[in-house]
Amino acid sequence: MAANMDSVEERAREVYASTVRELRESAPKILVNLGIVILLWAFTKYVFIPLSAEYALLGIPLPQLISAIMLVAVALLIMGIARECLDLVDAAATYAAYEFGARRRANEEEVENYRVGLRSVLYVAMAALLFTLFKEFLDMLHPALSAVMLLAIAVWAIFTLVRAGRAFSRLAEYYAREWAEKLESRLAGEGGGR
Amino acid sequence: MRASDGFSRALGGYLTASLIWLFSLAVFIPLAAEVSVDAPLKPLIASMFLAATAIEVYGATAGALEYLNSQHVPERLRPILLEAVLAADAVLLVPLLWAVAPVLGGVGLILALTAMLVTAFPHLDELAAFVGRALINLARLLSAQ
Repeated sequence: MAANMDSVEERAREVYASTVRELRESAPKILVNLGIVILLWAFTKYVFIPLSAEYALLGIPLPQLISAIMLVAVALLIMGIARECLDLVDAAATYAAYEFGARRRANEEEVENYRVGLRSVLYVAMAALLFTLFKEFLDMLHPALSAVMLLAIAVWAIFTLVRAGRAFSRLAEYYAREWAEKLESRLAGEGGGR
Repeated sequence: MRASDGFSRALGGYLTASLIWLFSLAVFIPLAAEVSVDAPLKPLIASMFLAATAIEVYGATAGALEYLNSQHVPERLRPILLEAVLAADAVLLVPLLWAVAPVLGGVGLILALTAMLVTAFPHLDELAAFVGRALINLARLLSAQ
């Protein structure tokens, strides 16, 4: 048991070091690319789409074309930083998990549950944020596109949240069982004392 | 099966249900309301999340009832815990039913209140004693400060 706790603490230190390394490597790339995405989004929304509002090319309204081009550009940029983002989220979730685990001297299985739970919640939050960013341009292309995308994200989010809930539940069950057993043994002790 | 299994199952189920409930009400249903499309997207998304929440709530309620029926819960606490379980189920399900259709939400709320009243009637003495004790403790706490 003591060896297990030591290994969790040792692993927490290793994970902390790797998280800091990951942060140092990925954060600048993510920040720069996110800056470009936000600039692109702002210019498209507030400059190019209002400017092109009354024009059409080969019968296609220009705002729709601009939206499509912007979506492709942003998708490429996001794909470029997605891997980095996921690695960073994983590293942060793993670090938080080991930090919690080491603080309450948890075993590896509990730490894994923390990690799965935190990671899943962060993924869903990220997907919702990205959808919020893309929604207007998808709407501009075709309103059904954003509806279909939202439905797909919602189905995926339900499964991901259930997985996160199950992971947190296992932790809660562990605490609850510990508490209930302590209570039962106390009650049994009081009963035996009488 | 131990009584603590029912308790931990209830806790786990309510935790998962509240996670889904929170994300649906705070993120996905407002997002669905913002998408301008002819199809009723908001009720559709709400019903998907309602189904997921209901499955979790069903498992959690079954676990909670199993725990309440065990010998480990003091007799005087049972009606209060039963009311708490009903209230938790109503809080988790009624807002999602409301998002699917306000009429469904209203019917759900009325049913939940009726169920709470019906289960409370035979135990009014215990409930009144519990509320009285809670108020006395609160008054003591406030006067001590």
